[in-house]
Amino acid sequence: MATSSEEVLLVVSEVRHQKRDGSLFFMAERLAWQDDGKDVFTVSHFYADIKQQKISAESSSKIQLQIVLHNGSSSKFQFANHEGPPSQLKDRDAAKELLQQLLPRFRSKANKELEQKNKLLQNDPELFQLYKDLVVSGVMTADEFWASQKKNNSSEVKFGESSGQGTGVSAAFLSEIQPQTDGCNGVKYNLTPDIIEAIFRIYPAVKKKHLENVPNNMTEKDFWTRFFQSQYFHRDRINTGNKDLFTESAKQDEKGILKELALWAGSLGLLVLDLQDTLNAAAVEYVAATMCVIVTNGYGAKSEGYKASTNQVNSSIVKRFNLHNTRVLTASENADASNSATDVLSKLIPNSSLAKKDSAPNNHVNNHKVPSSTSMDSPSSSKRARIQESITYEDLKPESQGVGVSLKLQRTDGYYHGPMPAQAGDTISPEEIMRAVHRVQRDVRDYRGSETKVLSRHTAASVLSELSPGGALMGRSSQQPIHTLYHKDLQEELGRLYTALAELLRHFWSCFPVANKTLEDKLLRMKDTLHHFQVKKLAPFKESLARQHLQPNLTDHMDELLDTAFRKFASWHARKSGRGLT
Amino acid sequence: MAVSMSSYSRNKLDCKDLHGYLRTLPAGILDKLYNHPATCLAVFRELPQLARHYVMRVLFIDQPVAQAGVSSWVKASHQSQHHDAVGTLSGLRVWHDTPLPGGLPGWQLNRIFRENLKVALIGGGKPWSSTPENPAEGNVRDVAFLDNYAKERWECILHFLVGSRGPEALSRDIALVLTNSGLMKIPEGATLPVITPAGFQFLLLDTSSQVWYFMLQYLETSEARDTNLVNQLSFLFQLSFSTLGKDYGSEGMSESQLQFLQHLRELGLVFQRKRKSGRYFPTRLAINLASGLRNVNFDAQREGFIVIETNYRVYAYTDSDLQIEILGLFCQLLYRFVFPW
Amino acid sequence: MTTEEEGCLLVVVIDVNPVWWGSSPRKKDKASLTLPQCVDQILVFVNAHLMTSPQNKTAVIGSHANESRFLFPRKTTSHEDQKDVLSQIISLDGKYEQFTKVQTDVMEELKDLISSNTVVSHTDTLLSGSLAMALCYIHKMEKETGVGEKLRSRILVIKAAEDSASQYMNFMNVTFTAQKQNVTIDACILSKDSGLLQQACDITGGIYLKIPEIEGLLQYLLWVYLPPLSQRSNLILPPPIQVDYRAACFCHRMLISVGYVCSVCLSIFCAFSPICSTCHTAFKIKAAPLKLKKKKKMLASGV
Repeated sequence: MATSSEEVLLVVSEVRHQKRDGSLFFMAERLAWQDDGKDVFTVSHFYADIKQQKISAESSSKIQLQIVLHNGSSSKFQFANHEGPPSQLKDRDAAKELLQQLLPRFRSKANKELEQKNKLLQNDPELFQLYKDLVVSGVMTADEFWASQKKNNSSEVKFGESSGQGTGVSAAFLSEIQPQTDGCNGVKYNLTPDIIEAIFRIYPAVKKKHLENVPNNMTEKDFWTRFFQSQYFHRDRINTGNKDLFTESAKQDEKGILKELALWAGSLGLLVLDLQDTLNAAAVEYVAATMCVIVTNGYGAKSEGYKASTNQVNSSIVKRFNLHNTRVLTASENADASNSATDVLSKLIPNSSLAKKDSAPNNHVNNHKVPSSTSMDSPSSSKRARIQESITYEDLKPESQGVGVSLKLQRTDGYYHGPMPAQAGDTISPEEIMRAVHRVQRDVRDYRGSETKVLSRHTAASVLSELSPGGALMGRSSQQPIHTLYHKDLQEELGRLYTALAELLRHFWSCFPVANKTLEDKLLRMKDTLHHFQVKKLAPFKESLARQHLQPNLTDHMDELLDTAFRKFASWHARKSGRGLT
Repeated sequence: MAVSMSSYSRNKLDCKDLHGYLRTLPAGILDKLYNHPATCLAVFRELPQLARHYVMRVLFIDQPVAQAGVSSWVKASHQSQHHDAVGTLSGLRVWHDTPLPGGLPGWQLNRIFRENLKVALIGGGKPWSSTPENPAEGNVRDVAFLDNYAKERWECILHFLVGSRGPEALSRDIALVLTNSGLMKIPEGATLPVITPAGFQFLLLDTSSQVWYFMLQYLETSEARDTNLVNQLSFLFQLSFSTLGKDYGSEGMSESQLQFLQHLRELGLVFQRKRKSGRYFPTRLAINLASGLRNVNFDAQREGFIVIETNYRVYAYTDSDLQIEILGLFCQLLYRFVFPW
Repeated sequence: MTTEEEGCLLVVVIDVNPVWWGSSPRKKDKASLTLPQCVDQILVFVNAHLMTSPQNKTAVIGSHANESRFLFPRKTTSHEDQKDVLSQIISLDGKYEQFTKVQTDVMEELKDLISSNTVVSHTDTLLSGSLAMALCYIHKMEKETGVGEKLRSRILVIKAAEDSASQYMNFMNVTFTAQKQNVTIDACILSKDSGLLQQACDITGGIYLKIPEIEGLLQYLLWVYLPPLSQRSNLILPPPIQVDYRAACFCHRMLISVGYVCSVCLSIFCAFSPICSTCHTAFKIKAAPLKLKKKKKMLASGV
């Protein structure tokens, strides 16, 4: 039976499941089917587990609804209202509508988490390896693993939120809305909510229109039909129809572009904005071009000889590109929530109105520093600031003399001595020094060069034996680098063990100093985990080394690390219990 | 050393380096050559780097060294260098294959080579040349004079090659060397030799390569004339290790050696005030002869520019007669101007 | 035929501390060499270096307890002119002339150096000063190389006496300068190990070798130190040693691995004290530092 706290949203009786009669209940978080003869729910599925619902085809005799779960199983419900097919259809449709509304809500929640995890694991092979080593082999449970990861990457990844940058709408998506021919001279567009959202994102003017008109003036269907028919959508056509709902939207877009320009150009831009209603389109374009020139210091634009664009098709394409790019920029600006990186102007660089055939408006953004004083209330101060900024470069200023504090030492003898250990020098008496000096002087004075006897062959031969490989001076280790001595698989396994152990030890050591209960619990858990690791992973590895007759000293360092950790735990435990006793 | 004019001549100018030349000599001569420390020094310097170190390591050791031991001195990744070095040393008869007392194959330095190299390094042998009796003579020559002299003498040879001087400019012996070496030939019906394509290539080499090539040809010619090759080669090496600006005595040299000295004087490799004076000064051409170091200073004296236009006109800015003559072989001299500075 | 190798400038710094060379324990030992004999062997090595390539150059510096002096090339005084200098290069025994010059010059300067310093006030060798002189010479020679010629430089230190602790600062400065100038410092130790030179060789990438018997000095030098830097990667040479980089605390001069460092003057102490003894800075720490924390931090970083 349903629990008392669940509210029932819909009940459909006379629903057959597996050849038995019963009723279908829709609750807040799950749907369930109860056999007529029984008291309990035979079938119960959480909305979160449902992957999708399917309905039988229109032409089939049986009116059915199929629920497909994530794990692949499915349940079929047949609507068997005794009143006949129309009412069955009605029942089924009601159920379907309800499900349609409920499913998306739950789907996103649960799915997303799992997808997140999977994606993470796929993207980071090291993490995947770590996961395999720790969780799959039972050293650590999956929850602990993800909990640790979450703490780790809390700044980067938020479970349940979208990770990384918000993805935008692809520029080509409009072409993806393929019209389907209806068979009778009509054109059918399939609009899903996703597509609608995307359209709103690209054309905010459309959204505004939508808000205004729907549901007051026209239905959704009407609205969208008009949209697709409009010149706005098929902007390649040159014929203008002013009766259109959407002509204004085009004008709005241009206004938007101008507004961005104006932000940059300061006072001149303000003037233009004021005037733009009185100017006609061509004049506005001209002014826009001039502003481009002014603001970019004349780079790349022809300021004289402005000609009315003869090629309107190109200019419209260019205009569309510009619009798209402004959208992209505003989106990134909003995501940044800072004023730094807008340069609308580089997009509009200069070929827009002059219709050069080979213009490539999709330049990359160069990050000019737009002054943050884009507010229009104090144009003079902002202008001054901007002028100031454009004439000075920080790098070229003379280096500022740092105000430093000079080092004053009180005892310098130790300082000059440096961190050198004291030499156990023999003390030599001054007489001894004198004698030594005399001796050397005598040696040098009486020396007769005997160079030909400088090196006897026996000495030479003995030195040769010392310095040949394997000799006394050449060190015990062979000259082969270690990574050639061992097999690659062995090295990789060793590397994996090290990674896993380092991760565990990191958690262990982060528990100290033990300040509260949670840390203490974690500490105990980590100690057990480390123990597990040693038994389950390290010992087999050592055995495999021994079987291959390799020296086991490869694992010495890891043993040392584990021993230190255990010792630390033991001392902490002893102190704690000691404190607890007293 | 072959110049890229090879398409114009059938045979490239084959300028062997020291090792290549020595390999062509028979074994007996090579051993006799190693009797002089200077030769050993020259040969040593021309060895590949690894071979040099092998020699230095075993220089003071008498017994043979195991071959396996020597190959263990080098890391496994550089064994190819090891093989090169060993091959060179064996080819030049610097060391021989000698079995060790235990039967393993080993190498031992050529005894003569070892002795003389040690002499060059630490002494204990005879002096190379005698010291002049009266060191403080009034005619000490400084380096600039010697350079000038050498340049003038060598250009004389080149002028003869080009054909702008008559046959009396050179002695018969030298002229014979030039013709025997293929740099010049006497066409039928004429008495004066004319330059050959190989001679052109010779002209375009740098000075030190020219000198080396010429000396090799000289030695070959002299070999044919049965003079003492070993002595002359040793003397050449000795010269190449002299100090610029210092004079050396010529007492104690045999007649053939004195004759050789005169030829060298004519070529500009040494300077002697008189034939009978007992001292000579080696010039820059002779020093570092065997090692073939490019003497940047010497070549820099020949300055000039050449402009070639696409209509096949050539403009040359130079004040060296020799260069004008060489150009005259290729081009037709139309005008010759004198520059005011 | 043209040699494309780069020339190498080898500067040899010989420790001629008379106190060590003339000390009595050495005299009793029959198998030891006297200073001139040792210098002879070193000179044969230097000549071998010159013999290897005509572009090689060399300099020899003697490091005494009172001064450091260039043994080769000698300072030419003004009244000697070129002619006299040249006439002095006479080889009477078949040795190459340049080698003779090196030999005679060094021996004479050495004699002068030893005989003119009869009074020795302190027994430490002025090694850091000699190294600084060597670096200056290298710098000068590298500036004088012509266009298109390359010159790699290295310094070989032949050390006899012990380290002098008071030269630590200067020594480390010299070492880091050498590292920046791409100069390799090699060390050949005759008696006791020297921590400073171990560090110097490790930092600049040179070879450090302690010689068991001084009689075979020449063969050791020819074997290990003659190959130029480019060849060193091809040959099998004595492996580098483990350098003990631990610092010694300023209060007890004991080597420690964990300690306290003053943030102003960087002096190292083994125990906490509220005032730095070198620069008298007061340390303000809220609570007594936990030895626990430091140890855990060190271990965690060691992990």
